[in-house]
Amino acid sequence: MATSTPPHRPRRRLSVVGNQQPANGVAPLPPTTRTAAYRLIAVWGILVAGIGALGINLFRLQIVQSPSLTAKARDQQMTYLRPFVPRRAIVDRNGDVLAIDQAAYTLYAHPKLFKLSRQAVADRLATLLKRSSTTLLQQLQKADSGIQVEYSVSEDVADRIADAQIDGLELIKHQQRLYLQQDLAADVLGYVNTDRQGQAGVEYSQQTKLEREAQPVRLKRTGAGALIPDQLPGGFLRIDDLQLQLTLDMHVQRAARLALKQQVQRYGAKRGVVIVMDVQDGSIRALASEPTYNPNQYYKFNVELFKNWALTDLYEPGSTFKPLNVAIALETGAIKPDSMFNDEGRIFVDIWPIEDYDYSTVGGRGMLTVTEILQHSSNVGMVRLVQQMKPSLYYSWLEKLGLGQKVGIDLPFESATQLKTRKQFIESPIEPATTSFGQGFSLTPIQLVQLQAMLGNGGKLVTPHVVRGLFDASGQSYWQPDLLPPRPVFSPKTTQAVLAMMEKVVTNGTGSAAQIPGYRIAGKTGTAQKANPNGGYYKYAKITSFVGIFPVESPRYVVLAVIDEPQGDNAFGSTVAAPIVKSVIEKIIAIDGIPPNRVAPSPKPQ
Amino acid sequence: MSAGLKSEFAYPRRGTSQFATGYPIDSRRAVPPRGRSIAHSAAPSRTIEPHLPPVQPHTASPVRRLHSRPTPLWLQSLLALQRSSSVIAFFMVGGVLLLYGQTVYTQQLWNQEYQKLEQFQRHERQLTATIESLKNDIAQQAERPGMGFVTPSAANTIYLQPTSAAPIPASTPVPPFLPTEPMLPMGY
Repeated sequence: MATSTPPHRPRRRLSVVGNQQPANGVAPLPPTTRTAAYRLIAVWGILVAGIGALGINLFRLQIVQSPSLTAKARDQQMTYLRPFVPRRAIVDRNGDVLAIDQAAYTLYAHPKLFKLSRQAVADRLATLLKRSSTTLLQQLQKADSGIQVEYSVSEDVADRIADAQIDGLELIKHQQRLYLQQDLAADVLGYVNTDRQGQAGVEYSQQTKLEREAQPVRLKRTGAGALIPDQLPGGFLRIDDLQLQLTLDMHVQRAARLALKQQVQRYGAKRGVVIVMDVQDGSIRALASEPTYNPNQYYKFNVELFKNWALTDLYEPGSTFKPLNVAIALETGAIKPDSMFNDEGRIFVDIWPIEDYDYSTVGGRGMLTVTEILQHSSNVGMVRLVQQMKPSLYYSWLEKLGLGQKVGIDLPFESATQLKTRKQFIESPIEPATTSFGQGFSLTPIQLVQLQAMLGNGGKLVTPHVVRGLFDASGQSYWQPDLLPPRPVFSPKTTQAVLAMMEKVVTNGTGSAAQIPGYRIAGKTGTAQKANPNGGYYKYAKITSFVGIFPVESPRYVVLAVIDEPQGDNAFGSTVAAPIVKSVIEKIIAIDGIPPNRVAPSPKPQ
Repeated sequence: MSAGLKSEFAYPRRGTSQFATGYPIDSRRAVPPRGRSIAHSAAPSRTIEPHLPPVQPHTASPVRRLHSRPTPLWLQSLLALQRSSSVIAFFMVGGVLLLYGQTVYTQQLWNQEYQKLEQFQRHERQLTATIESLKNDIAQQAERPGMGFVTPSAANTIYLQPTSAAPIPASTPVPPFLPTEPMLPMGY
């Protein structure tokens, strides 16, 4: 039994072929077997060759072409996510938005990629862009590629163009600054150029406060183009909601601009400016220039308009400076409020004649009080008044007022005022004489406002400013400008005396055009001949102005209107500028709800 | 080949004798491999067929477990480990799939929400722009004469004198509530 077994199966199996041969009795391999062997070898060969080929390809892909393929893959998989980070908005003191950023698109056309005819594309674009298809077709025929069809396409229109799926069109996103009040506050706001750089106004001076920083984030994306947000840095979506708030009030600004525009047109004047400033803290509530420009289309305007001449251009203030001279004389003790001076109507200082503006009709007025000198705007009276002071002392006081320096406003390109040298001023008697009635030196309108504000706030020199600070949506302050603390120059007693005199100018003097029944307004007119840069004065060119401070019982605002070169014989500070100040004050009264003073003004305790 | 066939018939018979000798029963053995039968056919003289007892029916011998030795502990623990790890692997694969799905879904959701956010921000900007433009337009219209707008001024404003806060008399006796009319029900 045991001899027949056990069968070792593998061995037996191997012996199948060998055992079969003797059984068949055929010695050579049959042709089928040989073919099978060849076939095996062939299959093996093919497989090995295939593996080898795959290996070579692997080598090529992984090693030879690896860098370029990796780069290509990264290009397809990686994308930069550029969130829309707008430049901060600018709002006025009431929160009315003056400037915001919008996304806009530039539409390019590449006619060589068009699958439709140019005419068909022009027709379809015409309906989307609301333009005539003829002009569009002309544009499209200019080149084969890279035609800028339109620079600022709105987001909605861009969406519609994208939905139309016209081959050969390209939309490139960019940011665009939008000034919603058009030209209303252009002189303060300035504008932003295509490189996102502020070029004038607050946009220039507060560039760092307005810009938001945002780095584009590199993200992977899926084949369908969806973003894979796993590599987003924390706080990526958090954009602060800060806004730059100005001290401007668009209601007052609008009233100021309207009144100014009307007067400038009426008198055919070259230009004009109105400034409304809070006397207590120097915040500017309105600053309007005429002519002005629309910052949305700044490229269509003359470059000269981009400077704000209220702080860049110097002018001789004329009579509006007289109250300050009175204040200096009072403060130094050279005169008393009830001092009297002889107004001869015409005098000679050195060889120079000085006369009152109405000398030819009125002649000499004789003995005048200080109040009367201001009421009649007597030049001779002012010369006599200033002569009570030593020229050196007078000069020191002019310097103390800040003449010859900048006021430090937070708007760009401010000019420093011009004052003669101390030596020249002291040695030549004509210098103090002309300075007494506001000529022979020059300052900017903004500096005159700053100086006049002193008369309203008890003698402190405040810094004019337009920026209130950065505030978030809930009104929380984030940053506020560091302003110089008010510098006391005059005593409140002096300023109150001068203010009382200025009130008389309005109630019973040259400033009567600014009267508003029931309200106490102090003011002073100014009509100055324009200085010729080549020396002397122009005969007919004059600059008229009016400065008003109100309400006298508790001064809050100083309003200055300056009109450059009004035409006509009747163009004076009282006729051209005073009505502007009046209408601006009326508007402020209405906005702030300031009740009229029904009772007669009682003398303030000194 | 006929000899081969014959020997195949002989094989079960030989096989039955093997049951007795204690060889393990194997169902595969019941179908003999081809090679084996050929090997037998090569030596037919060795056949011991005539001495075999008559064929017993299969049912007659009871099926016994041949390896009665108990499975060793290490094998048991390995088997348990394999079984439990399979279960764990199954759940982990499920978890991974779930997590992957979740991730993809979240990303999709993020994309949707991000687009929504951008849309909202855009609407906010557009609304602000529209409101301010409208304000500006209305104000400009108001500036034109003959539009029927009245500018607020001191003349058309009514000023109310603030009432001076009168001091409340401290010791005013509160009059006792005395009904002047007979209290009647208001009606039902």
